[in-house]
Amino acid sequence: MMTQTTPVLEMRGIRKSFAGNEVLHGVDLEVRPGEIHALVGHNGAGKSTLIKVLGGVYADYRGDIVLGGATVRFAQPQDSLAAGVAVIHQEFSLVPGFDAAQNLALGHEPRRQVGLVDHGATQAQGAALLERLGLEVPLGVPASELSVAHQQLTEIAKALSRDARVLVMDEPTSRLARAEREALFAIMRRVSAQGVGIIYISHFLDEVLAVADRVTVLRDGAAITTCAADVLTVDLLAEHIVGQSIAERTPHQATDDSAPVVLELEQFGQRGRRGATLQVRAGQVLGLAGLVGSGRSSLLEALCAARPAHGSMRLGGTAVRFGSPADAAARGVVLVPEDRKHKGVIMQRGVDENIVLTALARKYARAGIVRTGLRRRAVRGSIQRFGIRTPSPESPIAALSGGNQQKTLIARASEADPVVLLLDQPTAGVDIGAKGEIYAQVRALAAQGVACLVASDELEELLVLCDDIAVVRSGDIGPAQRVADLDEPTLLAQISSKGDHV
Amino acid sequence: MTVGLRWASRHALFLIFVAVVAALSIASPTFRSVPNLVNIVEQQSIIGVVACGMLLMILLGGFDLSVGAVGAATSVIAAWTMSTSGIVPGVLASLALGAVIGLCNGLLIAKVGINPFVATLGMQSLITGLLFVFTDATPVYGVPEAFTVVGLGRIGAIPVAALIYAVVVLATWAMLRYTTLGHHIYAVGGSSEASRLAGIRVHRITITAYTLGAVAAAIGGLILLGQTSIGQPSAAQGWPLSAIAAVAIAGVALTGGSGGVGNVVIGTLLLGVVSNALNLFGISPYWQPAFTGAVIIGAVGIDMVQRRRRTS
Repeated sequence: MMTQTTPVLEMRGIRKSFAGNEVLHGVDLEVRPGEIHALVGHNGAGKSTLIKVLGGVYADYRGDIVLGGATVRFAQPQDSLAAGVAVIHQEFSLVPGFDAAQNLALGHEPRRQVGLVDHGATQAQGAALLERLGLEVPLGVPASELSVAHQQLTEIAKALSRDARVLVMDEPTSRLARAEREALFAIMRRVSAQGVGIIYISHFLDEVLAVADRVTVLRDGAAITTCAADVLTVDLLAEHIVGQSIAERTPHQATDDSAPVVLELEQFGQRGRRGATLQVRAGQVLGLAGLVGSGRSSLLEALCAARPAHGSMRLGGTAVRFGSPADAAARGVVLVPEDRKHKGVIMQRGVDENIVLTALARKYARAGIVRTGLRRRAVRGSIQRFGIRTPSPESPIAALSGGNQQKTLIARASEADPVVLLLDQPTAGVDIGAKGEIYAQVRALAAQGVACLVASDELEELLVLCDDIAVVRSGDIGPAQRVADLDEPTLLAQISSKGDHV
Repeated sequence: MTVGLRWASRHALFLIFVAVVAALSIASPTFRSVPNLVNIVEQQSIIGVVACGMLLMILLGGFDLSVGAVGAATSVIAAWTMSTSGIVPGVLASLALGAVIGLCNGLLIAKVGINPFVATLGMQSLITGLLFVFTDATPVYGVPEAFTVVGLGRIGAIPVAALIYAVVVLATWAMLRYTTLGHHIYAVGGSSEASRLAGIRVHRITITAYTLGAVAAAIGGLILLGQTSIGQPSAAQGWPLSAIAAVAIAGVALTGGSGGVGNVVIGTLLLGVVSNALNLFGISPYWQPAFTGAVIIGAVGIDMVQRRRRTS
């Protein structure tokens, strides 16, 4: 498909800073007409920032964007759309109550003489457009009831209907089934054959190699390499993405293999998903590595009964079945959830209330009356022990940094006297200093005999924090592997193939 | 911003209240007379009690449109029971009916998942309708003379109704500050999902709050009965909006999670002061709703502007 004509898009020396902190250090990206160009890299490598610069979301960048030979500068998303750059985000932007044709007509609906919407013409134009593009989407069905694949095709049709020259697809396959993915790749190839340049962002390295013509690897805000896909392998690509790991791994004492098994799962999981079988010993920190959507969060939430579960779960040798997170917490199974802002802290309330939220009724109250002195001492102790930097115990938690909010959540879990601690992305959006403190706190809890399960997108974090790591793919959990036997590229290659499990 | 200004912006409602009362006191000797001021408190006692209950539900991020129907129904059942079996059974029947209706509201909202607006709107209409059917929309008489002490009696210079109001305010304050229920109401109102994941029994908290809210409405119904001696099926229709207005004026966000009972008391009294002043100055009662509306919009507007300035 590749031709040596003028690139349809060139981004030259793109730099972008947030509050004086440069996150893109002069990135070059060239997309040829008719090319599928994959963009890969870690979370935080700069992929979405680069795409937002291209899409006109960030106007204050340095460097040049050259579109079809002409230098352009987008001040807002509408500008880039008008110039022929269409971005399909992971979260779709369809009106849920409208069907595909209505969504395609959005903003330029055909009208009758008096200005009323012409529904017949809307449907006819939508059907004609889909047919011209060769996309099959059922009409007359509201977008909210369409399958993910059909919603995606509608998004693609919407983008192409505006004569896009460059189509950006952010993680288009993460929510698709295998057959749907194959169908999507076929459509991508057909669209690119018409001369459209496609930028394809994905974490699935095997898919990247299967569908892309060229691959650009981003690492820490810089484009590391751009090369043809057919000279790459998954392992080679993983090495490019990871780079020379500078982080030194301080090996903590290996867990005692004779420690009693605290948590035992057999075919256990969220209802409707495949079950997992695993064991966690007292004092063991077991990491769950996997891609976004691989089922780690839903497993952790099922464990503390935040979601309906199936399968067998044994706690300290006894079979248990919790009816609610409150039941689970009463038995010492506590979760530090992934979405800190919405599912973790109570933003309007003080640090003190957030710390004792789980433990208040059980430890700091008698007959429903709060024992104020006892509670105050516990709060002070936790703030000190977990190094929570707050002006006062009563300060609103919204005023604290992400790291201190996260430490508050770990303090809350610790106050609940956990037996099993479930940590979902424990350092997401946390600065590097707080990260280290959080690792030490989790290790300290483990040293007290707490069994810890940690899900994280950051492989380096799992390698530093955990004793053992199990890989999760499509809700399926692999065997626990000792951290000493693993390194980041190996782990990345393991999680990045959607191939069926062995 | 200086410390003084910051204090002023935090206590804007209190300062407005003081300013209004001071201005009216200077303008009108009748207004500042002690009997008149006591009168205002007495008149606002019923809405004040109902607003305390309303506060709990608004802290949770909900509210209750059925408090008026509950007030009417509980005063009717109290009148009927008192006329046949005496005062104490009447009071108990009234509180029990309030609790049952509140429990139903709570179950519909927490367990069935109906939005509080719809659930309590439906409940309001359902209760009113049943009440009209069972009473034939006629008042219930026969309340013992002794019971009027609740609505009209005084201990020294202090109205009994105002005393009941004070007790309800103190109970609400202590409950919110010193019980796990109170702490959990704030937490659930702040984020019900975060509270659930942290091991709070969110449904139980919701059901309890709606039950207490309806019990407060039943206490309001009893004070009303003490004032009128008649169980009137069509009474109390304005309660829901007046009580929500008092809480809103207090700067309690309708999204839940923060706010205290102290400001609700000031909000309630401010509404009473404004209506009393309109009376004294001989302004047509037709103006009353317009002034109430202006007070609500003005107070909440000032609060929003202050809040935005504080966060920016």
